[in-house]
Amino acid sequence: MQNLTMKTPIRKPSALGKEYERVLRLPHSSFILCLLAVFFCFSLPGHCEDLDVLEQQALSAAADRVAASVVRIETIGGLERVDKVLFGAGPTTGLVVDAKGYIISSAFNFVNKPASILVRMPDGSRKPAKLVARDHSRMFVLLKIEPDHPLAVPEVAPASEMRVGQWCIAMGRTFEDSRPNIAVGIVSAVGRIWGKAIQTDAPISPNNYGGPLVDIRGRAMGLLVPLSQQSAEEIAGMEWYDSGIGFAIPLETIQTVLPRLRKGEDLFAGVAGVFMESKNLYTGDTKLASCRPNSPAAKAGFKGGDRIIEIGGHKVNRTAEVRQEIGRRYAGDKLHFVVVRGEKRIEADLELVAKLEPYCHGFLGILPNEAAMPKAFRSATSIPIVPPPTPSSNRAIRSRPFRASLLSIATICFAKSRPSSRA
Amino acid sequence: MMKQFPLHFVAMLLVIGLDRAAAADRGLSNIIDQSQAKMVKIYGAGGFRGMEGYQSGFIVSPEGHILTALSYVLDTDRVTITLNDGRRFDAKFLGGDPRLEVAVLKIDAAQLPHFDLEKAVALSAGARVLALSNLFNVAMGDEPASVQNGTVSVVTRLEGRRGVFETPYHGPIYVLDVTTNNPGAAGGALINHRGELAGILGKELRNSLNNTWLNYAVPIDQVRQSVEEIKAGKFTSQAELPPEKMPAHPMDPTLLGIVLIPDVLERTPAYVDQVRPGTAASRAALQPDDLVLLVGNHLTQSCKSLRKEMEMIDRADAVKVTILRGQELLEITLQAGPDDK
Repeated sequence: MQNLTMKTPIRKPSALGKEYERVLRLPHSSFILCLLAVFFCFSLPGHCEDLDVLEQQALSAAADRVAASVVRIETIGGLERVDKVLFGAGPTTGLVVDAKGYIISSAFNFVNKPASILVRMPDGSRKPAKLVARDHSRMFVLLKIEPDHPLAVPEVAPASEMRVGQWCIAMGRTFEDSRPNIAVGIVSAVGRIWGKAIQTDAPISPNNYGGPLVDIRGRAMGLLVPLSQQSAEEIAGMEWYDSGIGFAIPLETIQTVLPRLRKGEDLFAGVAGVFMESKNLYTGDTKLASCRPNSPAAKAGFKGGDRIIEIGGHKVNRTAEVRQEIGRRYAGDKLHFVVVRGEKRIEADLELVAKLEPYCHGFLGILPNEAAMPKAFRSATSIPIVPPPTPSSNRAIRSRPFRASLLSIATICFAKSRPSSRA
Repeated sequence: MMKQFPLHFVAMLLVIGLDRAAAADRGLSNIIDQSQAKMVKIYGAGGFRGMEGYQSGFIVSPEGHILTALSYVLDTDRVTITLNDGRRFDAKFLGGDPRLEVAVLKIDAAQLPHFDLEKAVALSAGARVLALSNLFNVAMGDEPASVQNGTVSVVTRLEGRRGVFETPYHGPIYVLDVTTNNPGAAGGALINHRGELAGILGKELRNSLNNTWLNYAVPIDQVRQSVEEIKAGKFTSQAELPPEKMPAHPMDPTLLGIVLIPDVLERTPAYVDQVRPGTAASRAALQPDDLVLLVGNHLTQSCKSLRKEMEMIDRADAVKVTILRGQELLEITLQAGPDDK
């Protein structure tokens, strides 16, 4: 873990896990092939059974190695129902990420707004927890307790070592206080939900939301949370519980944002303010319909009709690829964009924001200068921008002060724009 | 030739090795074949209003005893059993254990492949298992039962305490990480990769703690005695767990001088609104805005659960409560005095 002052000794990678990996990894040199063949020939009868036992032992050893970092969370009070999802009052799970008492968990576990949060320590004692910060992009929360002893922190599996098809174990602590519940599966995909999550076929449900996804060597790969491609709601993705489609946020990513969360800073998904012309995510190209005024894209000078060709050093051809590149970034992240306008190539660094400013839409084609509004209500207002072609520009009204009664100001209707395919 | 020799040697060994691996694979499929031969499909009452008229079961004696789940499916004069080979029999209902929700049926047959309950094994968390059942009645006639692969997630108790699970059985269960909770799967067999029987798949059940479907099996060592008694015709229903005794004079927060905030929500947190002077609460320096978290060792997630927990304590006894004041957990003992009102 980064920024650790108190460190608990991390146990060595599970020897069984390593042994198991060695047996399964297909070696290239014929010497090892030879050894493998000898292993097949002269091993005890029923070699497959041995492999089965070895596998089972490796999975259990891996789970044991992380178990001390998987804590039980209890809540007091809270809503009984959020939208149509009925919330039980049962315990949920959290994962220790810092020996000093920082614990992460799924935002789903707190969506019913409990009055108080308790963390059950491995020795059975309870500690009151404070919800320090939320990550609204990756749907997890950071809790803080004041532990009596340094807590056990799991070793983190590097994202670069994750392979589709590798074993993984989903852990929770919802059934028994004394030991975690486990569910076994494989990694189904990496970079899911706009590049944010690992996908697994292990059953993921409220029984293990907030717990870790662990590899065969007993290293924490990610934090189990419900997620949905379509919705950013906190309960979205719950409908897929135990279905074989489950998600985990890579712990490596979480580590990079922990310092910010520790300071109590909530994190949000970053948006650029670009609206695509095509409404189809998968067939639509990257031509912009418009950019929201005052958005990062508008400030960079992008306009409707521009075509995005590159984001963050990656070529993009489809709307979905634009979502994929922007979707995993946070508000505040800087992202390099390349767009083409006709023959012209425009490059800009955009600082993504959490929220787009709603913009006022003047039906008469005149936009009031909002800064001048209080004064304007007393006597007059000015017309700062007249975007052609509109009724007012036809009448040759230009940006100059004009006197208007309250009545005429009232005729300027404001409407909130309704974003459709925004990124 | 000399150069080629090691390669040939390796290739030869590899072929033998792969062959052995394949043989071992055949071993698992042999085990599945043998186990499926012991499964039966059960057809009885139901078949309307979402109540399926079928379930699963398995043979537990060569002369045709069948273990299955006790359910409405058996609640008819004519229960039909279809064996793995497609033969059909009318079954006789020998008896059922309402606590474990298992039943024993008997068909007139001999030399049937069967699971020996005496040889059933106990499993621990992490054990690899196969679940055999006729889920959704997918298998018909001589089609073998469906097989699902999974792991024992945890061994826990089906705690019936105050209706956490709506079931009469409160004993140990194997929670599984595979979706065995399906229509028609109740009464199916849970076996390990060696083909040894370990459990019987339970009826559909929701975990009311988090409102998810529970996938579980009841260990065979829990049901063995009942099955033997039913087979011998001398089954006597085991006494239900004695219900938790409520004391004659149950405790109430008001008797301790605690006035809770108005209970307006389903789960109103048990915040102290007022402390009456001259009472146990005021003597223990309980303060308004304290949040009561635990009574004894039981979590009180709401005013309702606080009252329920206190009802289990006699008003003459001391009450140990844990409260949250600010971010501090405090344990205090409240003892109602004889003069308290």
